[in-house]
Amino acid sequence: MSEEFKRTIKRFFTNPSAVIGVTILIFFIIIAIFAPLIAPPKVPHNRNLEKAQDLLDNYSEDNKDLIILELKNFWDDTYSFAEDDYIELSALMDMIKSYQKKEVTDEELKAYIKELTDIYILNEQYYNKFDEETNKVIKQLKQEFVKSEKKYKDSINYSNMIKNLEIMDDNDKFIKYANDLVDEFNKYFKKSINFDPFIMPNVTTTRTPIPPSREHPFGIVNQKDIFYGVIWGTRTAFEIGLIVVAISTAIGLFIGSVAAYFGGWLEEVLMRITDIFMSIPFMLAAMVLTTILGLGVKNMMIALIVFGWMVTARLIRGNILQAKNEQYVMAAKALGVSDFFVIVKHILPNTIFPVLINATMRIGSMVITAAALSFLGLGAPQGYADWGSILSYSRDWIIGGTNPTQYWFTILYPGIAMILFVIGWNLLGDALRDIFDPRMRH
Amino acid sequence: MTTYIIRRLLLLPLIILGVTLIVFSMSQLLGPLKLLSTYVDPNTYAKMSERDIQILMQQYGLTDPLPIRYGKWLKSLFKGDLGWSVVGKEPVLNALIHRFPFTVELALYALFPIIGVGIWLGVTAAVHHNSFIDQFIRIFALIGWSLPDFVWAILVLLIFYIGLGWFPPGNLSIWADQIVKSPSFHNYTNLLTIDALLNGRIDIFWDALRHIIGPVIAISWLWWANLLRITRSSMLEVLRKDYVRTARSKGLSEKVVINKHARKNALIPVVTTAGQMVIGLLTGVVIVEMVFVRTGLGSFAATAAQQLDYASIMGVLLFTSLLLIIGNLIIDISYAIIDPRIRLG
Repeated sequence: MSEEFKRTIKRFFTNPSAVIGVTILIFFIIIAIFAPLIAPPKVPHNRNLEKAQDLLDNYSEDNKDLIILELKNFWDDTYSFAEDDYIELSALMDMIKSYQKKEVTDEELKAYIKELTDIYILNEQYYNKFDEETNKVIKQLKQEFVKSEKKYKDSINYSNMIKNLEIMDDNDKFIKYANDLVDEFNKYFKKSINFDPFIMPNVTTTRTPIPPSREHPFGIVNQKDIFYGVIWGTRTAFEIGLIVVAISTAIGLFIGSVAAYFGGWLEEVLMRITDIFMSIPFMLAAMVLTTILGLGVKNMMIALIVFGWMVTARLIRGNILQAKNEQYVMAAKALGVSDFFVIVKHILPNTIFPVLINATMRIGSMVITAAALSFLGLGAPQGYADWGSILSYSRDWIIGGTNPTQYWFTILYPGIAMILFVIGWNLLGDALRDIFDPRMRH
Repeated sequence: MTTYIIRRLLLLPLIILGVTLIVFSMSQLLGPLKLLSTYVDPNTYAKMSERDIQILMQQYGLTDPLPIRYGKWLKSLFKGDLGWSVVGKEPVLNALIHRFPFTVELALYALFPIIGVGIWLGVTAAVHHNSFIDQFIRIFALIGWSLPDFVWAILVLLIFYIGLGWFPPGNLSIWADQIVKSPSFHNYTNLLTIDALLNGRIDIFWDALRHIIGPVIAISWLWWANLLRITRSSMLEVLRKDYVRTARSKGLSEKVVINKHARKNALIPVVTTAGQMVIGLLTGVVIVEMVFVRTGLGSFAATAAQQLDYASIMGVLLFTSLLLIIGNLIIDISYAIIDPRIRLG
């Protein structure tokens, strides 16, 4: 085993395409891992908290009142409605209780929910979905109540803390206490705005692309920094490629090996289902399913998985059937080796590698298909850090623009990233095939 | 082999039925209200009360149990009723029939340069195995294989239309389009270039050809890469065979060995790839048609998807699946006929 393993490793590192492919992929992995450092996302700050922090850093006794004022302003913006919300929602909870005892009718409860929606305490989805999914909505409303209860308690707590600050004389103690409070407010603020680093922020006000500069080394298209999109798009590409291929390969492995192992009518049924799925053009099928499920990276991945498992299923079934009849397997069986040992030692190693090689080669093409869907506006949503989306922006400028060559940077950088990524996987897949293909061994 | 062909033919209806089942299941994910929009213009029921909408749904059978709905849907499929296409502003079947010839024409023009150049490159690489030429062709294939079609299509448009002004996007220039749509122009085959020749309009023929070359270049690289890889590895295998060694040791010239003994046998597996390519070209060159603003099945599907025209995308999917099934059947049967060594099934 170890001797064979060493030889394989040696063969791998003397194969030029394997080395180049792995180098490219390691490069992208590093970019993906360090994306937050290479292109730090601009987390929005609250103005009051920023000012308070600033004053605290350069503390002097005169600023004490100003700091307290900033904190009070933040409290006002965030918590001033907490008490009202809590009171209204506890009334709603009472109503739901009597509704469940059938003392209140559907209509009355709905009317009250509508009222709360109109004064912006509740999201309108609860009212809209009430008829269809009553129980689910009631469950969600109870969660809303728990949340508002916590927020109300927090609001009292924080208002007391601010009052404490006002009467605090010791400066060191004040600074420490105020710093803690700012940190806590910041934490709450970040949580409340639902920040997603994969959404590319707008960096300019003009829509025309702006050529590369020191701050934006890849230029700007549709108000988005291309550098930011390319760096974070690496994560999107890995996510799509790896998850789609891993899940679809697992499904294919399961179906193919069940078919090969059990045989008979089950094999016939499973392989005909595989045939049927293979009879639908892949790109169009993925396009249609994504459209039906709705825009979004997740839905696109589901569509790619649903129509992406068949090749693996056929491959593993064929390989297992072939391996069953190999002389070394028969010899092992004749020697009385247990079935389990035969499968683990003889069948699996000879059947799993072609599947893994195929999976490696599919990653590149899956990423291309996903990017193509985004390019058509059917995949990732507007502004999502995704190479296909950036390229679709660039198409509009290159085809529709008056002097298109001046927008070269909009296609060059995301295009190169995409091509290199796919070439990396394809080189690796090619090399693995050469290394594990027994016909290539001398 | 006869049993194999009979088996394949018997399975054909089953596969087609399975495909309709998958497409139907996908459409059911839409939910009743969106499904209604595939029958009726959404504006007509936008202001209706919920009860009236329910009645409307009953009229179209949307409240029936699933198996009954599947049966009804299949029945309407057999009658050729695929619903109303919002994008095409005509029944989906008519929209498909109107657009298919454009896709066929593009496929026809793409076919010969792709197969000719692809096989030539593959054979050349194999003959000069491990030489500089071989490495160069392999890199050419690797890039074509890894190049996203939309990036390459934009580059082709940028170079050949915006840069050089040779191959404009679209199907025809405006002046030619007006002539083609006028009653004096007869549509014999619905293929623009051939119709132009039959009408004796060389100028329109050139115009249509000019519009088709750009997309052909954009499609070619990927398929060259595919085809030359298969040809190369198959040729390499054949060149190691005993009969090739025998031919060489007989003293035959290298040219004769390659052309007569090796190449013909090496091309057998290439037939499958070429067949798959034809199917791929016919079942929608979505990206290239979109970038070059061409009419065709692919651009029809993409526009319909963008505008959430569910009836149209379902129609395209069913139509192209049917093409794929029939195409694969033809490939497999001809493969079995060409290569008597293969005992399939």
